[in-house]
Amino acid sequence: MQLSDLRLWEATPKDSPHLLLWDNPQPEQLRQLAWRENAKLVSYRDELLKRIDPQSRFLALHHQCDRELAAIRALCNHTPEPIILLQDLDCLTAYLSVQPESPITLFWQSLLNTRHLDRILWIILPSQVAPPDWHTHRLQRL
Amino acid sequence: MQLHEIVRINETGLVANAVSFELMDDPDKNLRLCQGFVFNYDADPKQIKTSTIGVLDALRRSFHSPSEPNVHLMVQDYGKGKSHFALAIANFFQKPYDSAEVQGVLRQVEYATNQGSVLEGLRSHKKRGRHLVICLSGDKPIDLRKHFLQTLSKLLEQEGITDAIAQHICQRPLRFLERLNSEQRAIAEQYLEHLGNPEGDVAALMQLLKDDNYQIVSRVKDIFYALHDDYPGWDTDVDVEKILTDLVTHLCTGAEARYQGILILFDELYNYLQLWSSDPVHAGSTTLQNITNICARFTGKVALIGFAQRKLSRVIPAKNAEDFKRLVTRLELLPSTYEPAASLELVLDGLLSQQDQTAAWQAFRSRWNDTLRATSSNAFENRTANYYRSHNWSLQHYCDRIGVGCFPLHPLTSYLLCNLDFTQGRTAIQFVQDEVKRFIDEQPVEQDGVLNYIYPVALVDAFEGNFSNPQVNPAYPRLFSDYSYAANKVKTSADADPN
Repeated sequence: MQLSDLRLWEATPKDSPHLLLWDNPQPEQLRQLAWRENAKLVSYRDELLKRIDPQSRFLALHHQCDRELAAIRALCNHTPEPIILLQDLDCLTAYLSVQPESPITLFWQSLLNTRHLDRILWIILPSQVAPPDWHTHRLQRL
Repeated sequence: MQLHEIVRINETGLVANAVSFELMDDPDKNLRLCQGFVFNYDADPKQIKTSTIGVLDALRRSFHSPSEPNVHLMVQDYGKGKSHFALAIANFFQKPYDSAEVQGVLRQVEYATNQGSVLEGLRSHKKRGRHLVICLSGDKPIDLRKHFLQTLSKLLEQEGITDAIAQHICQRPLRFLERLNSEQRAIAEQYLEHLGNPEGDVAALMQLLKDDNYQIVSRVKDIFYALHDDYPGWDTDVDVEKILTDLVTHLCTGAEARYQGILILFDELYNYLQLWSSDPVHAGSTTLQNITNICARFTGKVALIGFAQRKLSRVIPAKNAEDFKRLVTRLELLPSTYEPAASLELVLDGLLSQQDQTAAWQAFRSRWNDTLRATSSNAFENRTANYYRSHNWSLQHYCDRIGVGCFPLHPLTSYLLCNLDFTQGRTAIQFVQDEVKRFIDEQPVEQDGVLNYIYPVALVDAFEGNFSNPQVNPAYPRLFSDYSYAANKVKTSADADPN
């Protein structure tokens, strides 16, 4: 799909997350897309840094998958824009994937099952980290 | 005779979206949801599985006798009010009889049943005491054992209970870490660094324990060993059966028992089982089996109800299908699997409470029964049969629920109110609580010898903004314009001076 053909508000269902597979998006392209679609561009990494204790030297995110999923849901409850474009989630999925007894499968399944989001959520990911079992009708490739 | 003598409006009834157990932490919202759940009811004992009152009563009977089923499953599609029902019954069993939440639920039961033995059974059950209610939700946790422990820890703290086994699992290792002196702490940090800090430093371990991450306990045991050359007797796993047995034995048994029993509610069960089938070990392993084992051991004292959007036995997951099937046989039992009907029509029926125990209602029925039936039959056969037959409604059911149950709404008004493309649960309820209430408060039962219905034309006035908006439906504005022209013409001619 071409970027100019992408209509983020046409996502259905509107209360569950959608994936946008996009390799190396340029910051200007992301800003333009967000402006055109009345979306808020949010960096998962920046939000994580705001939430954690700056004194803490360790993340231990593999023990806090439910907390991170709750944080993604909360983003959708506290944003005035109708659409959220979430980038940098691949830093979490990469972290989870390299852990012994990785919880990555359950993380994706749980994100797939998520409902009742107050905003339309699009998660931007590089195509090579896309989960294998994600529903095709909730996924777009650029 | 006035309409308000024979019909009352259920003014607290509401339809709520996106309800979850988390809303129980918001006292105002929680109370409104308890007071607002509109039950449906069918007095026919063979139809008990098709009503939400039937499910509530079946749960109540789980604690009445050890021979009653105590593992229940309620199956209902997305958006039909399962989670709202779950929240209402969680409050019903958890709160005291005289609390506003329980009284709100009982009031709704009264609306649906118009008194009767079910209501009395529920009242007398509640008067005997409270239950310990564990509310699990399958759409948020990754590991059910951790979710079970977190939920239970929070519940026990709220209840002022401090010495249950569940609370020791993470608290004892946490207390140990908190009490390390500076020298011991340095050794502990050194030990963790030597391992490569797999979960972080001592501060990180303490935070994880505060969040009920029981998987960390074995690491803290290793620190204990590094310091004392011995292992402490802490549990390193969440033994669900041991935890629940402890609670039943110490809190629900004997003459001075604090609770009548333990009720476990599991919302979004289907979602959890999908998660479980993709990775059973990390999703909580045998936690659900452990809960059903406890139900089998403590019949009459423990009950479980799951809520799912489809029948679990009809699902074949991509992975671990055999294990899934075995687990489902424990959760979906034929005598205690319910598929309560849910439709906006039944909500309307629940909002309009006919006073059928009164002499006024009896007099009304004997005078107007044939008219009610003929009007219903005509609307059903000539206008709406295709729709309702496709939803498995018989003529009799239609007459009972819509012809009589939604009076004074004309059957076509009820049908349209539920099925116009711009009406939703909330707008339909608003119409009943405003327009229909005003009509009932002010109008007589009959006018000029004719039964005084609210005809469909009332919807045109109430939803004028929708009918005149081409974005709702391009065909409506022209029809609405024709209607307005005709209505004005009639009004003008009625107002004209006859001289």
